[in-house]
Amino acid sequence: MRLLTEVIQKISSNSSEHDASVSQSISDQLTNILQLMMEGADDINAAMISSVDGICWAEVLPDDFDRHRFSAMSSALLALSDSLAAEGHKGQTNNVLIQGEAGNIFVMHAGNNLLLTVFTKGESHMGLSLAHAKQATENIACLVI
Amino acid sequence: MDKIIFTGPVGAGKTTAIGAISETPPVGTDVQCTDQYRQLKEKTTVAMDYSYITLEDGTRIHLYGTPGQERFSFMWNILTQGGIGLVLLINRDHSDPIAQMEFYLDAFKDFINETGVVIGITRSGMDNNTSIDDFQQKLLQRQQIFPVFEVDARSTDDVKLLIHALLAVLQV
Amino acid sequence: MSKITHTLTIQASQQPIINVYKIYQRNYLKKLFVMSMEIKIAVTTLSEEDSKIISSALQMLADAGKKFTTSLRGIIDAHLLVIDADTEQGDHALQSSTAGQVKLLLATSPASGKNIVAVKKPIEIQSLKLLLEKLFDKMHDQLVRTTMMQVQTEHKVEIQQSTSCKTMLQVLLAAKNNKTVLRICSTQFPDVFIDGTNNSMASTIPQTEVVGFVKQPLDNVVVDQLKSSEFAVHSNKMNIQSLHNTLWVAAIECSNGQLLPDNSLDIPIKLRAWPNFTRNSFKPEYLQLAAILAKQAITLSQLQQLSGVPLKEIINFYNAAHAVDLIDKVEKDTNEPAATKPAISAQKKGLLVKIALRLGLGK
Repeated sequence: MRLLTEVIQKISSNSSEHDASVSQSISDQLTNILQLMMEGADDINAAMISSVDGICWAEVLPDDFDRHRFSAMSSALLALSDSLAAEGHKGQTNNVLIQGEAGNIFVMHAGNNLLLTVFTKGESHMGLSLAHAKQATENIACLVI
Repeated sequence: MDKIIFTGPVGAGKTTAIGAISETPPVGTDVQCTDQYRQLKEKTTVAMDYSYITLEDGTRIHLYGTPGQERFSFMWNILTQGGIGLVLLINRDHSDPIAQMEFYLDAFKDFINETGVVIGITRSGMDNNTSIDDFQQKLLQRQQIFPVFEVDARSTDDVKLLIHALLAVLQV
Repeated sequence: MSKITHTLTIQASQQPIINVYKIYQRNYLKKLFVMSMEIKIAVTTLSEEDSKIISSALQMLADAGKKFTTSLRGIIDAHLLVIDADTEQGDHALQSSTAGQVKLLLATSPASGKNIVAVKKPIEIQSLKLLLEKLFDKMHDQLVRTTMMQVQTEHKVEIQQSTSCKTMLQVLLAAKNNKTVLRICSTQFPDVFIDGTNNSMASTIPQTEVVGFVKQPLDNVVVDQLKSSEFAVHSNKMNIQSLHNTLWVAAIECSNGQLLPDNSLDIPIKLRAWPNFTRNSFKPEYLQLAAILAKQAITLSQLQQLSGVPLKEIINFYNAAHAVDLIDKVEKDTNEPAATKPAISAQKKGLLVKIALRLGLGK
C-alpha cells in the first residue's frame, strides 16, 4: 500500500519534475505489463488498468475508446459483481465476463485497489487470453503492493 | 418497478439516508476512494446503493442511491428509469453547495420534470455561510419552487420527512 | 422617529397592544400630514388659449413653492376642478363633480353655488394666479383637517383589529413590521430580545420551550422598546437566531384559525418558497398545502375545497407562511385554470398513499 499511496499522491497533486518522473515511471511500468500481455495473446486487442473507484491508470486503447468512461463502468461492474458474489456466498469475484457478438470483455481484480479490463476479438482463444490476463494481474499486484 | 432515487455529490449522505429508512441494510458498492475526495471519506459508492421498503400489500418500493462523481453519470440514467421521484442531498459544508445543487438539478432535469424532487441539505451542524435562504434564492432565480429542508441523513425522521414532502409534490 | 423608553406593565384589565401602537400613531400622523399637503387639480374642457393661461398661472404658483399635483384619474379624485362652464362638455363635467370638490368655473356669465368660484372671461394670468393662491390656502387648511380625522379613524380600526388578537404573535409581528427593538420580559421565561431591523432574536430559551413561550398569555408580560444599539449589548452570549423561526411557531400556535389583518380568504396567493419544515413545527397536512400552493395561485377558500384540510389549519399555516415572508399575493383572475400538468392516475395516487402509510407519515 505504501507504493500505491505514493503514486496516488503524486498523480493527484500538482507535482515537480522529479515527482512527475516517479508517476510517469509507474504508469510506464503498468503500460509495459499491458503490452507484454497483449504480445502473448493475439486475441487481446485493447486493455486498461484502473482504480476500483474508476480512475484510469494505464491503457492501451483505440482512439475512439473513452478511457474515463470505460474506467468508471468497469469499476461499477466489478463492484456490483463483488456484491452479488458475496450475497450469493461465492466469495470474491474472480472475473466478470461479457460475451458480446463481436468479442468479449473481461474485468478482474488486480491487487487490492486496481482492476484490469481486457477486450478480445472473439471466442477462439478465450482461454489463452484469460490466462495472460491473470498473469498480468499478478504482475500488477507485485508492482503495486 | 417503483423506485425512489437518492442522488447528490460525494459525501452528501445518500448511502446513510437510505440506510436510515430501509428495512434491511443497503447493498452497497463502496470501494476505496482514491480521487480528490479521499480525504473527505475512505469509501465511495461506484455503482449503486440498494435497499427497499415493503408496503402492506406486499409491494416493494426500491430505494436506489447513485454514485456521486460525475464520471458515473451513466449510472444516473440507468437508475432513474422507472423511478417515481428524486431525493437530492447536498452537503452544505462543500465549498460551493449551491453550484452543486444547480448541477444535479440540471443533470436530472428531464427526470425531475416528469416526476418531482425534494432537496435535503446535510451536515448543517457547523457554522457556515450558506443558509437555506441562499438555496431558496437560487431556486427563485431559476424560477423553481422545490422543497428544501435541513436534514440529518442519519435521522430516520428527517429522511422520512423528505420522502413525505416528495410524495406531497408527486400527488399534486 | 421619537425614542420611547418607558416601560409598559400590561395588566389583564388594560389593552396592552393599544399602548404599543400609540407610540407609533404620533409619527404615522406626522408622515400623513406631509403627504396630504399636495392639492390635486384637474383641468378639463378648456380652450387651448385658456389652458395656456391656466398653465402659466399654475407654474407661477409652483415657482412660489405651492405644492400641487395633476390628478392622474381626471376629475374623479381631484380636489380642484378647472372647468369651462360655457361648453356642453364643461356642463357635463360640472354635473359629474361631487359637492366636496372645489370648482373654478371660467364663464361669460356669473355663476355661484357651494364650493363654486366663477371667473369671468376673458381670463388673465396675474389675477388668476392670485385667485388660485387664495383657493390653495383655504383648501389646504380644509384638507389637513379632513385628513387628520381620517387618519385617526383608520388608526382606531387598526387598533381594534390588533387588540382582537392579544398574543405573542402580534408582539413579534409588530417588532418585525415596524423594525423596532424590543425586550420581552415574563415571569416564566428568561428575557428575550427582538431586533426587528434585521429579523433577529436573542434568547436563552431552549428550543423545547419555544412553544410555551409563544403561547403564554400576555397578562404578566412586559414589553420594552430599546435602542438599536442595546440589542447587541443584551444579546451578548445569547443564542441569536432568525426571528422567523419563532414567528413561524407563534403563528402556528397562536393563530387559532384567525386570519392576520389585511389578509383575505378570497385573494389568490402562492408560495414563494417552501417552508423549512425540519426546523419548524408542522403537521403532515402542511406538506399537502405547501405542495399545492407552490404549484399554483389559488385563494384560501379554493385551497380548502381542493385539499379537504380544515380551514382553521389552513389559516394557521397561511399566517405562518405570511409571517415569514413566504407568501406572494397574486393579482390574477381566480377563474383562470390552474396548472396544466395532467393529473396522476388513481393507481399511482394509491401507491403514494400506501408509501406514506408504510413510513408512518399520517393520513
